Amino acid sequence: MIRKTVILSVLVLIGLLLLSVTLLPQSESKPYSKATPQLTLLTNTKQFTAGNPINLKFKGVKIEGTTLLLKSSYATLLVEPQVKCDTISFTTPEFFNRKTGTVSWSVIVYNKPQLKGTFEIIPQQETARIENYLGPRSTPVGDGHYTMMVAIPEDKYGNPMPDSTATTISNQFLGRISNYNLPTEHFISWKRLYAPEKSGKMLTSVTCQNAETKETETDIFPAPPVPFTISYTRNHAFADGNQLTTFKTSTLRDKFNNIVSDGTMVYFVVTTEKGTKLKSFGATVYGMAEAKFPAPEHEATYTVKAYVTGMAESKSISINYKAVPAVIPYSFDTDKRIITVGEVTSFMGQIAPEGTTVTASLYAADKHIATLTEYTEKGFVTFKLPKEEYPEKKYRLEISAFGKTIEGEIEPNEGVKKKQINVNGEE
Amino acid sequence: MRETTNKYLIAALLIGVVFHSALIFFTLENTYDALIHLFFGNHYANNWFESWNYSWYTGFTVMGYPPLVHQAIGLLSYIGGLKFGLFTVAIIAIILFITGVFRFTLIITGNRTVAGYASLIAVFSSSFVETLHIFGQLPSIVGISILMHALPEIYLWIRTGRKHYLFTSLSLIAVTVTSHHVTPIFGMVFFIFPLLGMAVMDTARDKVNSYKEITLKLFIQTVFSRLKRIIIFGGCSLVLIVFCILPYWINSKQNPITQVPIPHGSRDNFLEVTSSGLVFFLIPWGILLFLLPYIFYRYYSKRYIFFGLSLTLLTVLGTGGTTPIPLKMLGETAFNILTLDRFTLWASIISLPIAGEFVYRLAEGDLKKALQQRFGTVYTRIISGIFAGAFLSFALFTISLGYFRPFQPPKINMLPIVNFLNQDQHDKWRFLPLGFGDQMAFLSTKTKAMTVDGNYHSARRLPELTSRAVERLENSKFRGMEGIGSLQQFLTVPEKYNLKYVFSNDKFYDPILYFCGWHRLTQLENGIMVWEKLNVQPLPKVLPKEEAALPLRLMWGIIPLLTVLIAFMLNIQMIWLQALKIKVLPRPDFFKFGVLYSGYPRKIMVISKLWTFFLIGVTLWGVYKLYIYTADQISPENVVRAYYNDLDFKRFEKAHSLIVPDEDYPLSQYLLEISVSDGIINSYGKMDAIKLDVPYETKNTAIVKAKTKWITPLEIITKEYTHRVKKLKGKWFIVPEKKDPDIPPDQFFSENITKYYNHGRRRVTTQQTHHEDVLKQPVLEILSAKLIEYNGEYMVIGEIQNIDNVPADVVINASLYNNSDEKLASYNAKYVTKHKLMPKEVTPYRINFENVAWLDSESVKPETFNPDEYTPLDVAETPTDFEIQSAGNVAIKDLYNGVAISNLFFKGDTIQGKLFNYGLEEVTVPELLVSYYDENKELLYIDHEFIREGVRIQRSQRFTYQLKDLSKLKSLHSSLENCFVNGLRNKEIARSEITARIDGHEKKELQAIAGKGYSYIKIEVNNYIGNPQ
Repeated sequence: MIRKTVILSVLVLIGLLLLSVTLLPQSESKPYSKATPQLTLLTNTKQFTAGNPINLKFKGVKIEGTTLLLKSSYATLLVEPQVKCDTISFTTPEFFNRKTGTVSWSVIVYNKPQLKGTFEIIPQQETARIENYLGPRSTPVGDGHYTMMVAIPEDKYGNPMPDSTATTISNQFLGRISNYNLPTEHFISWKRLYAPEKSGKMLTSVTCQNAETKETETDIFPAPPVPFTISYTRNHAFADGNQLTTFKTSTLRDKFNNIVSDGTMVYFVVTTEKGTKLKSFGATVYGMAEAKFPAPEHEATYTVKAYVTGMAESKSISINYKAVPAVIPYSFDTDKRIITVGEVTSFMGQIAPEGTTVTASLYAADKHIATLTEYTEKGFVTFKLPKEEYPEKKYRLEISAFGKTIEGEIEPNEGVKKKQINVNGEE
Repeated sequence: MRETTNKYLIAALLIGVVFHSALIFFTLENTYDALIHLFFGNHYANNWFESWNYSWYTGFTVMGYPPLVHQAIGLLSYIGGLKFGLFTVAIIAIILFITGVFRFTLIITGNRTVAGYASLIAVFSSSFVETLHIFGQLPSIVGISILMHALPEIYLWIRTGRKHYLFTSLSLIAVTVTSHHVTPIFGMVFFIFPLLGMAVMDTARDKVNSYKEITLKLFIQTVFSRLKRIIIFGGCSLVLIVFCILPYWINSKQNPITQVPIPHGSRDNFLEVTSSGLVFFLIPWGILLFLLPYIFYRYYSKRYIFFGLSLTLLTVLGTGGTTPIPLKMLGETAFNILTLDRFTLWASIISLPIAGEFVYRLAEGDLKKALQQRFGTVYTRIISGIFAGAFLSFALFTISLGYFRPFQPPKINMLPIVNFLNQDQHDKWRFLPLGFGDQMAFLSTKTKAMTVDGNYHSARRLPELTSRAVERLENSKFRGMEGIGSLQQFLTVPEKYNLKYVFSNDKFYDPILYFCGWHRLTQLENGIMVWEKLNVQPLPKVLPKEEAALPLRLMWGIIPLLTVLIAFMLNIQMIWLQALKIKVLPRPDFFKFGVLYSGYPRKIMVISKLWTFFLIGVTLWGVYKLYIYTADQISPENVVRAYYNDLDFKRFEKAHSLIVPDEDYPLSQYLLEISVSDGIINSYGKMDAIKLDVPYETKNTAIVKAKTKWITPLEIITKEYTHRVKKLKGKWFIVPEKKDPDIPPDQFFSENITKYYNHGRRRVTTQQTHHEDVLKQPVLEILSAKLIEYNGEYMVIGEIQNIDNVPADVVINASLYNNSDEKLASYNAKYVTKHKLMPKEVTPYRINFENVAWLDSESVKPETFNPDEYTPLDVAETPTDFEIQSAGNVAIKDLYNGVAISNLFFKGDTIQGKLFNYGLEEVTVPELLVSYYDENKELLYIDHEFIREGVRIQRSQRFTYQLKDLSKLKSLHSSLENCFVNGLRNKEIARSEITARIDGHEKKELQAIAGKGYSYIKIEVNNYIGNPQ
């Protein structure tokens, strides 16, 4: 707000000043209004080195209103003259001297150019630093993939060195150091560094005269993997629903025999006999991926195949799980409203692992009523058949665990009292 | 006669200032509004004449709220900082209020002692205490206090016609206007009109011998005789109301409130929502409720009749939605914009003079005598003691409300957040605080970084915010799904708002952040988790601004404080003389009309008594009802309800006490079981409703079905639990559920995994990241892309793979185009995709197009919540083409893949399966991504399902998934033509990275299934880890 008013008042003041200028008597400007001065250039130099002072000298009488107009790709500016006897000289400002390029000049008297010419500012002899770019910063191996180094040698003012300045682009890969001597062209020198067939890290740098860059690096990543094999390990072959099977790939390598990048995702697809597709996942570490899978709770044959999607797959392997020779005894309470199944045992006659699934299917007059699922605790499970939910007089039972099913019957009473009647559930 | 100093007023001021000033240091910063005013104060302190503020809502104008109080805070902040300003203004407000009540009572009763009593009552008046210490509405308090100061001046102007009074009254009205706009407008109706009526009545009284003799005719005659003064005053105040805050009126005309009405407790039915009834009715009225018969009796005497009408109106309006009257009187619009609690506040303030009078009569007047005569001294003392005690304890109860039931999260140390924003140019992006409560306003005063959220809802500009009735994004949680709807839109397309950082003070929001593609960055030392989103551009250097015209800004900056200055100059002499009693002042007119308190009417005493008994009865009945409803173990329903309430509030010890006592099931076992159960409900659910049903009950056992509704950050979950309950020794208990007894095969595990880390910039510098430190964007390949129409919605689906050698964070944006290549919609993939991919990992994606339905503000007011309720875009034209822009950025976190699908059963339309977590991180929320394919293995649809229970380490979790019916799905267009990855064409960039690809590899292992409209499916898992190791 305040700034605006200040600006406004300054503008008004300037306006007033300009107005007052027009009111000045005209006569004062008359003596030099029409005279054309005779100027000759004294300075012979056509080239100046960046950073050095530039002075253009002319012979002639100084007349007011004489200025030097300079134009270059960097700036356009007017320079006021300095007068010494019969010479007029123009000194360009320091910032202007620092940028290279062709400069065209003209001496202007009363808005009319009198003399014209050009000179050139050339970079300094010494290369002070190198601007360099490397990209991409990672690339796959071989197959014509490359990373490119671009270097621009510059003098201390950041002016690119003249064409054909000798630069050396170097790269290091696996103990081999290559140097490429490249003269600059259009101010730059560049080199495509083709990816080798081995993965690793490529270091690059550029030197030019006395200047060097720091090292820049590109990761050479392995190509996609080629077909591989898988294997599995497990503690035992029984389908106890508890132990884990570990799937493992061989070392995944690309076509150049590089080990694929860590973290490469491998999908293990498990196909059951029924055609159900199950899945486990692994990411490679040093080329090998591992995934785990729990054993089924019943006899089964799994077909396992691993994929790196779109790139490679393994041959399928098949894994057999043997049936657990289970024993499933069960009993009822007096009212036959609680079924206790147990002790369910596993392949060595040991108590089935905690959480083993036991299902009880109930049928009344061959109509499926319900399937109850419980999980063993210390080998036992209980199924409760409360009167309000199971009003029928008689049910047929199918109890299964570890893929084995036994059948039975239950005739629930009215109330619930606790007294065990043992029923032999063994075959 | 030289007046003596009013000792009651002095006492009231001393007690009031000490009592409230000491308390505000503990209460004010936890109130709802105080920090908002602080934020505005900060705005004026930094740019006094600036009308635009960038900090909130992508910019808003501060001309939406009268500026006086804010400017005062800003001005005082130059002396001792912002909080000094806030507290000083609060103390000034306290003084103004107490003196205001004194002067108001003086004109009403014409008795200085009574006025003194009234000012004492004002100190502890529960409505004042609530407004100051719980709501923190400083402008409102300042406004009403100044208005009360204006009342005597107005009265005297009408009575005497001296111009001096006109000027003093108008000067005070101007101050009121600039501090709170609603106060003078409604104050006109409820305070000034009755006052004018009373002044006219008094003038009429002068002509006759008693009030009884005033007839309607005489009254009307007197009105006409005073009409000129009334019109002059009314006209002038109207001009002031318009002129003093002219920019405000212009702004409200230009930016009318398009906001969907925000639910406010004061509009509830207080009988149904008892908490609102407590806060917006019982507390403001407080003990005054017991005095209502007396107050109404007094106000309905002839002199005060207009105040009586005003009080009646205010009382009725203050009842909110309890009766239909307020809605009918105010009309739909006003009812939904105004917060009705202010009416109760004013009603209680109008009652204060009469309450003062009552206390005077009880303490030293005729009531005391009457009571002593009838019931004896002891009784009188006990009654007075109980009254005083009740009054004080109610005030204390009101103040302590904020302590026992905090309205705000605990005080957050803002310094780490401010430092974080200042570091590393983090303030170049917008941020979003979650779970900060009103403290977010305080954070905004500390940083120049901007947030998309804000705390002043009338100023909201973002359609996402205005179209939904959520007060702040910040408290989305408490508005249920609708609020989350607003939040998820911000999190899904953060690029639109340059939103890169989220500060989360509440782990509730973690899952939604994860599934929208955000990742945790770091936990600050104050416990706030910082979440970050990749691929978001920084804010542009120049931001749009809608600045008000210069004259308006000058008015806004100058007038408010000028009104204070003028009012001060006009009134200072009077105040000075009154306070110091240097000179004997002429007794103002109103002293003539004081009532002689001789003989307390018997009838009123009886009615008061009956009323008191009635209120006590109602209170007891309410307490009894509450007991019956909440007593834990008196019925099967209660025990289950209590159990879920305890679970909801994590009172596990109490929950365990409701379970059938069993020596084998001790508390420690129960707590252990609770501590290992993880999942969306257990870790993030907030119970919203519970419906109980008892299908079976005998004398001692019952089955209770509990239909529970949980608000989770991802969706509303309804879950039915069946509990068996048992009665033991007259108390009902819950029979405990069995836990899954599964035990992992091994005790100790090891696993080799690849971990990643990315330096921000390797050299520690404030410069922009050097090109050497910028990683190449990982290359992705879009494997398929398809436009489909399903359930009347257009969606883009497909599959995308990270074909690079580093993990990638994937952002997928799709746009729809019509025949003439005009863009119809654009949106990002939200829940239905994996946002972080390991090298070579494939994920399906689905992009739904959500609408920002802000123009149609009427239609977007859902009454009930729907889990999948979001605003589908209403595409008027049929899209014929689409474009996908995807971008990969190097990801280093949230790459867990250790969950296997270990079992699947197909049964009709449901899949029952088992997940097995073989890795070393606990998965809190597993998400299934199910892709559907047709008989040619062409992708049809992608569905997602959040599994409610987590998967613990080395354990399995069962799930059930309902398959979709896709027979009505329409595939519109399938093409990889306009698919781009990192700005380059999909095919070109992919083939340059991977020269040869096995086509259709991802479709090789599909699950064949005979479904409705599909032949194959594929299931994948996206794992959210709540507590990364």
